[in-house]
Amino acid sequence: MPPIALALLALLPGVDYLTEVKPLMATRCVACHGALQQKGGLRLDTVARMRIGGDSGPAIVAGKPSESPLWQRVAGHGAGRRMPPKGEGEDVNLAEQMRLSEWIAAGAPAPSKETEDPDPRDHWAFRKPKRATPAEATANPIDAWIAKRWKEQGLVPRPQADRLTLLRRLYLDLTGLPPSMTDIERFLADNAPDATSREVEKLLASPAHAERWARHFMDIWRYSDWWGLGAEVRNSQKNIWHWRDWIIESVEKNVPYDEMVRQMLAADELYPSDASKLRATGFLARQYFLFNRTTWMDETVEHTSKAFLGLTANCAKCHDHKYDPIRADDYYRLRAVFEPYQVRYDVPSGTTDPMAGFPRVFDCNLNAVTHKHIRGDESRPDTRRAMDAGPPVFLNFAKVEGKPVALPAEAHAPETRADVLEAYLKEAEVALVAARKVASEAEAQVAHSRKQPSATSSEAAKPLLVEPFDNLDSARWKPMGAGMWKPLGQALAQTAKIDGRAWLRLANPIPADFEAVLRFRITGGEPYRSVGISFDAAEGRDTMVYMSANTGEPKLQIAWQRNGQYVYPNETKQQRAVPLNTPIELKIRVAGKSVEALVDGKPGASATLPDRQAGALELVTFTATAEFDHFEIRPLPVGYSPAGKSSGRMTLAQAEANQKWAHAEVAAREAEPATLQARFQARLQEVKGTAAQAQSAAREASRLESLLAVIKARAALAKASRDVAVDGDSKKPAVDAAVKALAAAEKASASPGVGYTRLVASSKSPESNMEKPESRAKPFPATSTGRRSALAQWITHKDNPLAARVIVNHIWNRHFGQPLVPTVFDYGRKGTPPTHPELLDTLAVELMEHGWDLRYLHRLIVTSRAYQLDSSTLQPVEQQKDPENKSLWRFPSRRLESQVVRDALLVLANKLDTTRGGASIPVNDEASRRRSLYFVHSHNDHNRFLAQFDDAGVQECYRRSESIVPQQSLALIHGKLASETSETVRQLLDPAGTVPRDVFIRSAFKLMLARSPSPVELDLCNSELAEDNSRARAGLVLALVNHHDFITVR
Amino acid sequence: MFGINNRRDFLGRNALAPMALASLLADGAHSGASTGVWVPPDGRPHAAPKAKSVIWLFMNGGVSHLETFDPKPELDKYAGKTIAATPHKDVQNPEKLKLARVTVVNDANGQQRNVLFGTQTKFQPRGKSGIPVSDFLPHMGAMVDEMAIVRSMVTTDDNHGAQTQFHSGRHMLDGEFPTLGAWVHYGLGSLNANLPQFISMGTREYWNRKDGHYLGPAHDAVPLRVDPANPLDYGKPEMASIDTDRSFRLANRLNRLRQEAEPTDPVLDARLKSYELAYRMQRALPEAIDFSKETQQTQQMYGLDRPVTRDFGMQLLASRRLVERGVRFIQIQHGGGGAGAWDAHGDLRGNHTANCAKVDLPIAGLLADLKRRGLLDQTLVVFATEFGRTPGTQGSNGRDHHIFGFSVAMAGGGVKGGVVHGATDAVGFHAVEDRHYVTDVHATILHLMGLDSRRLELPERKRLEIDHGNVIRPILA
Repeated sequence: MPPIALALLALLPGVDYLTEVKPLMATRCVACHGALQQKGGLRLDTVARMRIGGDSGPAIVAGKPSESPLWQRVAGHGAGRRMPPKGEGEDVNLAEQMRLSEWIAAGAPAPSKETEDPDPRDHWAFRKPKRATPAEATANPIDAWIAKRWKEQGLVPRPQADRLTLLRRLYLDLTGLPPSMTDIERFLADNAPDATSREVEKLLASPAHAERWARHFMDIWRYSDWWGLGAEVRNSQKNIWHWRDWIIESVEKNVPYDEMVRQMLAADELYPSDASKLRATGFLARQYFLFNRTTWMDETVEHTSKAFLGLTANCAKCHDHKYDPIRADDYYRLRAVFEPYQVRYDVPSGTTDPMAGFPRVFDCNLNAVTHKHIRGDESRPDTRRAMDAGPPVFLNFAKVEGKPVALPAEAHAPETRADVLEAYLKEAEVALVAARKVASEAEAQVAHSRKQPSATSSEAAKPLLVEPFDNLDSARWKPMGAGMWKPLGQALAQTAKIDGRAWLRLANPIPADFEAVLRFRITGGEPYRSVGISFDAAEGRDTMVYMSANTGEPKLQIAWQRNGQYVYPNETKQQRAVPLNTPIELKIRVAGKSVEALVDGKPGASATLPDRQAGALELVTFTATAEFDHFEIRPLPVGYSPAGKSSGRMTLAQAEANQKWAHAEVAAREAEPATLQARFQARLQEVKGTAAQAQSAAREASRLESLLAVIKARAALAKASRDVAVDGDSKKPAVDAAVKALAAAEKASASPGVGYTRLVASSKSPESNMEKPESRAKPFPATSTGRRSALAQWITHKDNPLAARVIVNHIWNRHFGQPLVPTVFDYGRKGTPPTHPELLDTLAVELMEHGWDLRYLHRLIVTSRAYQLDSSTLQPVEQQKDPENKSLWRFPSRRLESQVVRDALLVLANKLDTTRGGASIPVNDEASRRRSLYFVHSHNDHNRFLAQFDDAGVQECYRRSESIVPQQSLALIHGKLASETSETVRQLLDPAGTVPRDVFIRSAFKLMLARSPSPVELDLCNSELAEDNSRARAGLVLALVNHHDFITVR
Repeated sequence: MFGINNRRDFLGRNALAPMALASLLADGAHSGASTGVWVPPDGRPHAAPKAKSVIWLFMNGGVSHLETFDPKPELDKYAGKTIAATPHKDVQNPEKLKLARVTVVNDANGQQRNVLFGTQTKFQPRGKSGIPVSDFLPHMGAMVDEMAIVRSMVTTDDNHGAQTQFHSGRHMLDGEFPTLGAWVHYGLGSLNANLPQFISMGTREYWNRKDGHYLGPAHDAVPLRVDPANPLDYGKPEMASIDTDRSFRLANRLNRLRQEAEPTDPVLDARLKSYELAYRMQRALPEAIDFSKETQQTQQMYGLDRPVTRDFGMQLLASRRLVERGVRFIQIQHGGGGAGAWDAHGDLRGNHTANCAKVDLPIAGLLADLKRRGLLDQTLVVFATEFGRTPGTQGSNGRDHHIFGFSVAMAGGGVKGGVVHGATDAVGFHAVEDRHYVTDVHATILHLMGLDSRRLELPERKRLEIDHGNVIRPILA
C-alpha cells in the first residue's frame, strides 16, 4: 500500500463490517463466491467462510491485509488475477480497498452470529406453491389472507363500496367500458341478493370482456404490429393481428391458460393442421427481427422467461446470473429451444396468395446449432460445444425432453392441401373465362374490320414531345423535392442520395390517352432505388409506373395514390431483375383507365385504374440516383387496344393478329387445369406415395408442364406478332426471341424428365436480410424438433413453481391496480417478495386445481370482500400506518388505461362501433369508432390520443405506467373526442331540451361519475348553468369528463 | 410531472413543490449522500450543479468532423491515393476496425472507403485561442473561445441507429433505453411551474422518437412547434361548440371540492396540480415562443431575417427564452427526412455548405445571446451528431458513415472555453488520444447538472459500466 494511503488510514474511524465490508462482498464478490456458486471452492458471504477460504487457502489473514489474498485480489496486487474479473463487475475503488484493508488490519472482527446465505434453490419462488390453512377461514379464500394482514397491523378496512361505485368498477375492470344509463337503472332496481354475482357472470360472458382482457394479454405478451423502414418488414410480421384475434377468441372461449401458453409456443407441433390454433404462434412471429438472429433469439428467450416464468434469464446472457441459479449455459440452452424456428405464411382456404394468410412459426432449420457466445459477444461463439435444448437446469421438478414430431403433409407441404388445388383450379377457371371473353371480342373485331377496313396502316405516331436531356430545360421541367439535377451532356442525372422523392414535373399538359417512353439508368441510392413515370399527378393523387432496383424485391410496379395513400397491388406488379447502371426503356400506354407498362419492349405489368383525374406528368426518382437519357410522349399507336380489348379502330391484319393471340391465350388457359392437377398429384405422391408412384406422377407433371410451356410459348409468339402488327417493326426482335423460346420449349417437351414446379402455397419470411432465394424456397422439414412443445409442457407442468404464480399475479394486478409481487417479471432473489405470500400461493393452487380456468380466477377475485371495499382514503389511522395501502385496507383506485379512456368516451356517447377483429386500424384514422385495441400498435405508429395516457410500451409492458401529465388534461379538455362525447351525452340525457336543470345535473353525475352530486357540487353546477342552454349543459358534461372521478376506477 | 409507476416514486416526487426547488438550488443544497439503499430521485441534484439547463443540438445524418472541427492536412497531401498506398495504411488494420457492430450486413453504406478524399473546405485559426474551425462555420468559429471541442469521439453502430445510440448510449440492436434528456428529467425537479421541463423541437427520425422508455412516458420530451398559435398537440380547442375554457375552470373547481372532501388522496392532489399546470402551460407556452418583444437586433443574431437560417434560428431563440424560464432540457434535431440531412454520401461539399449555412449563424447567435444575458454559465449547449464521416471518398465526392473518430462541441454550463480535447490520427480515422464513447458526453452533462447516474438507475434495471460513461474532466471549467 502506498504510504499516503496508510497515513490516511490512521485518520479513519473503525470499520463496521456489517455496513461497509459485507455490502461490498455482496455486490462484488458473492455472486461467484457465495451460496449461488463457490468458484475456487470459496465463499465470502461470512467472515468464518473467508477465514476458511477456498482451494488456495484462507482468503484473509487477520491483522495482515497485505498478506490476505482477498485484499490482494481486489486491489490488483500480487500474482493472482484482479477481482472482480473484467466484465463481471466494477473494480473495488481505492476508498473501498482502504476500508477493507483497515478491517482486516483490525483483526477482521465478525458479528457473533453471522448466518450464511441460504441456498438459492430454496428461494420461495423456486419451491412449489402450497395452499396454507388460514387461522380464520372465510367463504372466499382471498379474504382470509387479506384479513390476516389487517389483523397483524391493527388496521380497520373500509366498508363495502356503494352499489353504483361497485357496478362501475366491475364494468370498467371486466369489460373496459363504463355502464350505460340503462345498465345503471336496471342494476339499481335489482335488489335480489345475487344481483352482483349475476352481473359478474353477464360481464364475464360478454364479448367486451374478451376484448378488454385480450388487451391485457397483449401487454404482457408484447403484441406489436409490424414495423420497418418504408415497406420493408424489419420487426414483427404482417397480418400479426390474427394472433390478436386468437387472443380475443381464446379469452371469450375461456381457453385454459396453460393451453394458451402451449399453443403460443408450439401450436405447430401440437396442432399442426389446425389453422385457428396456429394463429397463436404469433407470439413467436412477433419476435421476428430481419437484421440479426441473435437479437431475435435474445428477445425470444428474454420475454418467454419473463412473461411465463417471471425469470430474468436475459441477465445470464453474458455471464452466469448474479442472483439466481441460472447459468449462462442455461441461457443458451433456452436459445437452442428456439434456434430452429422461422416464420412463414400459408395460403388460407380459397386463395392462392400466402400473404393473405397469417404469420405462423415452424421448425425450419432442424440442424441449426446453438453456440454459447463468450461474454455474450456474438462475434465470439464457443464452437467447441453445441448447446443442447432445455429449460434452466436448477428447476428440475420434471424432466421433459423434446422428441421429434412427425408433421402431417398439409403442415409441412401445404401445397398438397386439397383446398389449395381447388383455389388454383378456380383461379384458372376465372382466367379461362376471361380469356374466352377476350377471344370472342377479338373475333368480333375481325368481323368488324372485314366489313370496314381501316385506311390507316400501323405507322408509328409522331411524337408530341421529345426530350433528349442534353440539359435541364427549366421552361419545360420543374425540379421538385430535394433532388440535385446535373446535366451530363447526353443525359440528366439526379445525384442526391435522399430518403425520399425527387422529381421533374412537366410544364406542358398532355392528352389523357398517350404513350410515353423513358430511357434511363438507375445509378444508386438506398433502399428502393425506384425510377419511373407519374401521371395525373396532383396533391395527394397520381399514378406511378416505376422500376425498383431494391435488393429485397426488384420489380416493375404500377401504383396509384388517392387521398395521399398509395396502393401497390400485387396484380399490377412484375417481379423482375432491375440492374443498376444499365440502360432501361420503360414505355407506358395509357388509354382511359387502362395502363400498360413495357420494359425494353416486353410487356411487364398492366392495370385498370379505379378512376382518373387530369394532372401533371412527372419523371420520378425515389431513394434513387439516376440518369435520364431520353423521354418522349406520343399518341397511342393507331388501333391500339389495351390488353387485347378491341378498340374498334384496327386494321384487318391487326385484328387477325390480335385474334390469333387471343386464341393462343385461350389454348394456354385450357391446358392449365390438367397441368395444375398433375403438379399437385406429383407433390402429393412425393410426400405420401411410394417411390414408384412419386416418380410416375412427377413424370406426368413434367410432361404436362413442358407441353403447357410450348402452348404458352406459342401464345407469346402470337403476342409478339400481334405487337409487330400493332406497333410496327420495332417489335421484331421480340418475335425473333419468341421464335427461339418456342423452339426451346418444343425441344424440352420432347424429353420431359421428372422435374416439375410445385404449387406455391407458402411464403417464408426472410431468415435475414442476407437470405438467398434458394434458401427461401427450400422445402419445409417433415418433422419438428419437439423442443418448443417440450418447453411449453414444462412451463405448464403442475409442479412448475413459477407459471401459476406469475399469471395469478398479473391477473390480480389488473383487478386491483397493484400486484402481489411488485416485480412482476422477476421472481428471483433480486425481485421483491409477495405482499401476501399465502394468498399468492393459494390462488396459484386454486388456478391449477381448476384446470387453469381464468374465468374462475376472475370470479373469485371480484367477488371477494377485498375487491368490493370502498376506495376512500378517509381513515387517518390506516392512512398513517399504511399510506401505500399494501395491506389493501381500501380498494386501490387507479387511472383508466389509455384504451379505456377512449373507449369509455365512445360508449358513453353511444358511438362505439363494436365490429370485432380484423386488420389493424391506421393510427391516424380519427373517424374510427372501434375499440382502441384494434389500432395499429407498433414502434413507428402511435395514436395521438392513446399516446397521452401511457399507452402500452411496444418493447415490453409487463405493467402499465400510470403518469399524470398536463397533456392528458389538454387532450380531455381540447380534444375533439371529448367535446363530441359531451355534446352527445347532453343530447342523450336531455333530447328535447326539457329536462329540468337539477335533474340534468344529477343524471350527468350518475352516468359520468357513477355517483350523486354533493349539495355543494349541485350548487356549483346550478350556478354554472345560471345561463342555461344546451351549450352550457354540454360544457358541464365536458367538465365531468375532466373530473378525477371520471378518469379513475374508484 | 409525476410518474407513478411505483408509489414510492410518486410520493417521493410529489412531496417536493417545484418552486421550493429553485430556492434549494440557489442555496446549493443537494440530495443526501448515498446510503447504498436505492431511493427514487427526490428532484434534488446529488451534488452542487454547475449547469441548470441543457440545449442539445443534434445534427441528424452525421456531420463530417474533417470539414468542421478536425483539420487534417495529410488528407490533402494524399488525396486520391488509396489508404494502403500511404504511410497511414495501418488505420485499416482489421484489429483496429473491430469496434464496429454491424446492423445491416450488406448495407450499401457504412463500408470502408479506401481512397482518401481531400478536405472540402479550408480551416482558419479562430478567436483568441486560435483553434482552427472550418470556413463552413465562420460564425461558430468566432465563438470558439466559448467552446470545448472534443475531437476523439467514437461509437459502434455504423448505421443511423447511431442517432439513438448517441441519445441513449445503446446500440440499435440492444433495444430501447431512456435518453439522456429523460434521465435528466427523471432526476431533477422543475424550475418553472408553468412549463414542461423537457422539450423537443425539429424532426425526430423514426428510430428515435421517444425518450422515457423504461422510465415511463412521463419522461418523454414534449414536442413543441415554434408557432405561438399552435405550439403543441391539444394546445387549443379542436371544436368550438363548447366553451372549453369555462369547462376547464368548472372541472378545476369540482376537483377542488372533491379534494376538500378527501384531502388525503395523493393522486387527486397530483391530478389537480397537473390540471393547473396544463392550464398555465397552454397560456405560458405561446408567450414563451412569442418573439414580438425580441428586438430586431436579437432576431438578426439568430438569423430570423434570412430564409436560410430562419427555421433553425427560431428554434434556438425559443430555446433561449425557454431556458430563461427554467426549462431543463431542450432537445433539437436538425435535418429531418430520411436518415438525416447531413448524411452526405454524395456531394459532401454541397451538402455541408448548405447545412452549415442553416445552423452556423443561429448557434453562434445563441451562444452570444446567452453570454450577454449572463445565462451561458448555467446553460450547457451541446453540438452533437451520430458519427463523423470517412476520410475516404464514397462515390466521386461523398463521405460514408464513420464511427472510429469524430467531433462534438460543448459550450457554457461549467465547460471550459477555447479548448480542444482528444485527437484523431493524421488522417482523421481513429480517435487516438483520450478516446470517448458517447456516454462520456452523458456523464459529463449529468455531472455538470449535479446528477450521479449510478444513483438514478433503477434496481431492476441494472446498467452496464459503459452505460454510465466517464466524465470528460479535462474540459470542465
